[in-house]
Amino acid sequence: MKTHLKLCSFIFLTSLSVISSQGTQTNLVQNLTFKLTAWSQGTTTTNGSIVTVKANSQSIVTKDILTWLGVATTNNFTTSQLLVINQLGVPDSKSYMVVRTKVGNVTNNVDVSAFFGIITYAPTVNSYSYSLVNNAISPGNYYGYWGFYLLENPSCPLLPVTFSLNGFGVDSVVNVIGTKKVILGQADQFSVTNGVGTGQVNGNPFVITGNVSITGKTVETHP
Amino acid sequence: MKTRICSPYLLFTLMALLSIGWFWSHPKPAALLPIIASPVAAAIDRPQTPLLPVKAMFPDTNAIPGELIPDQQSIDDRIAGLNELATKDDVDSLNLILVSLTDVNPQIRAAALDATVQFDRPEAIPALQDALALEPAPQEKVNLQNAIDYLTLPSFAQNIIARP
Repeated sequence: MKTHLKLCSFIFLTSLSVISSQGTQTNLVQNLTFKLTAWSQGTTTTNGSIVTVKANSQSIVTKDILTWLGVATTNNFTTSQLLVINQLGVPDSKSYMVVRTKVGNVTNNVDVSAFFGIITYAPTVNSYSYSLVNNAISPGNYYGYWGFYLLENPSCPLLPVTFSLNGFGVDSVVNVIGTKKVILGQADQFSVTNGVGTGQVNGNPFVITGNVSITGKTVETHP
Repeated sequence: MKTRICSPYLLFTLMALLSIGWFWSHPKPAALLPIIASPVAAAIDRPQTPLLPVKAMFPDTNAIPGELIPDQQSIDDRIAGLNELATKDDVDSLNLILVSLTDVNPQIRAAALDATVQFDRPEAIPALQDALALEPAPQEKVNLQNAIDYLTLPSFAQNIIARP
């Protein structure tokens, strides 16, 4: 009887360990950052016979976009982070744009992926190397013509600003190294610098310039 | 008699085996479900890693020299910390960012400059001007001046009118 009991316990514990090892997941967490300038038509003033027309240039940083996403999703994102999360070491895994808010020990993530779009307009020009022995790819750079969009979302129609930004971008692939000094996977450090595009605010158009980047190599393990 | 004693254990064993089978046949649901609590619609596809000719592999034997790791890891941690501080809105967080503008490590200095811009407060301009005066490298001088110019711009957020 004791043997049976031991056998049953062993099988049960083994099944638990199998379940727990299946559930562990490693995510790469990166920052999505905007540093943009919006150009719009300013005021027209008349002083005697002189009419002066001004162009407005105004800054848009990540905090502004978080505020707008908060309006659209009826959340308060004033001290939140805009993150890109994807499964590390899983090629072609889906990326999620997430707004993370920490209040004390509580972390809340809201998926805002539906508000963003990224397009590669043309095949990239690539610079990398790989081993013929094991097919392992070394870090490299991928240069291309990219488009980055802040989009209206039909299910959350309150987004006050939309825009598209196009330009030359670099996708720089680097190794992500774990605590045991082993390469866990690779991370894309993406940036479009000096991009140009157009946008709309309250129905008024504006021209937009600036940078968008996805950077960071933070790794999180979830049970 | 013996059969009667054994049957609960056999039943237990059977259930354990069934549970293993069930978990094998039902893989864990979508990748990020545990960390995403959102009503918002499905995510977009990530930018496709372009034209990779072969499948990426990350063998365990692909370790790198030990001396470089802790240093770069601590730099990455500090950069992550600066990025997090940039999301705050209090003076202490801004000051913590500004002291890193003159860090000895160029990666930290660059991250501090980015965090200062993302903090988006004109109060940071005097500290940027001080860093500019101390900076010998021409390119970093340009970056500091660009950051000062950017922070003098009014915010686009003032154009936003709340919709009814």
